[in-house]
Amino acid sequence: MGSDGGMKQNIADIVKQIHRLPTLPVVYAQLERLIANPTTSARQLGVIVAEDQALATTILKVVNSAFYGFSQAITSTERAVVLLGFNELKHIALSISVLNYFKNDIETDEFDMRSFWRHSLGVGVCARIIAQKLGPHSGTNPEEAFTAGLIHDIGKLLAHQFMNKLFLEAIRICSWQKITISDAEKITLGFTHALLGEALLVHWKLPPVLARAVRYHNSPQIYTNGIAFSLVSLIHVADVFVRALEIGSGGDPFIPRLCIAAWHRLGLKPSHIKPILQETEKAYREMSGIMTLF
Amino acid sequence: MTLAQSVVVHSQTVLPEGAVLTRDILSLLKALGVTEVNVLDRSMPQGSISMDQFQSAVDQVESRFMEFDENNEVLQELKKVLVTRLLEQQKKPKSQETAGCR
Repeated sequence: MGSDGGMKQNIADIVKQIHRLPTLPVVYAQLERLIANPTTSARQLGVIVAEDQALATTILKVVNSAFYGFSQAITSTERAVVLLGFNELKHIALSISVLNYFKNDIETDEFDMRSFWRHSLGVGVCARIIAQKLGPHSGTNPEEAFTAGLIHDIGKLLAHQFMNKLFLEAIRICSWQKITISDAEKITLGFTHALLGEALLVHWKLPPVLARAVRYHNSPQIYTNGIAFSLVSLIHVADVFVRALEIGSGGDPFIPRLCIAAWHRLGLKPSHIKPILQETEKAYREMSGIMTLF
Repeated sequence: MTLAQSVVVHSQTVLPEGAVLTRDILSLLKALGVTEVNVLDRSMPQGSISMDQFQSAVDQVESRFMEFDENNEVLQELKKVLVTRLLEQQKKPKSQETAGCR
């Protein structure tokens, strides 16, 4: 645990500490490199995935779930690559890698790590369901939405790790002042987990669209144009829905303000709310069993 | 949430079938001595709901919102879905509650 000495830290200092963090697993970098090469075959990708037994097992469980809805059983990683597509495979591999990366940090104080991951998985599942409903012309991809949802609060893990006392103070004050965790972080840390999360994603050289979604998921009203225009709105709405469903905890016990501009950008209607919430609860139950959070 | 059946007090219809139950209307009905209403929602458990139970569910859900704008149709719908869900959960035995959710 990093020391924070009870004083606000400069974001630059934190970023320096982030740079001492290890990078993502080698398998993800290998997949990324291969996918960028137009001559890569599904067989080559399947072999890379199969070499990482834990990753291969989880990917096969995920693609065989009702959430993915393939009609036939998928028993090989190569077949999984063919059915999912290269980019979708990359997103699933990234989600599993990130989850595994932080899995060991299960110290539980006022910040309940299990509850954090339940919330993160819930937002991933809900974001994927919304992206599917919106369809391919919305500018959002279901797998990208799932990944963005899963990692949207990753900055909280850094805050918990490197600025533990100040972050726990933020958790305490948001409950009794009825303010969001982001507003409480601004008081105690001087910046939000969204900014920290973006810094980590940049350090990991993850796609900028994901970094933008992480940075602006709580403030979509100020992200009015750019590569992640739809994804930012989608993660914001999914976060509000999952907090409404009380799946895990986002750090404070409230349903945050819904940015109506973000809602309208997605073209959703009030009649979509009920089916989205019902599907999210059902899919979350299935996925939490597969992703074996802790 | 809408009324499945008109509310009649002393042979007079005070609220017609299909009326939307808002916080103000609930307070008014309580003041008139109405203790139960029939709510129209396909997902709702069958039978009538006591006004106190309904009001308590509405209060519980509203208190969870950081900000609640009564005039916003999106938030209205979200509240309606959450109130229905809460009333359903209260009717279910504990063992049937959603696993993994708080």
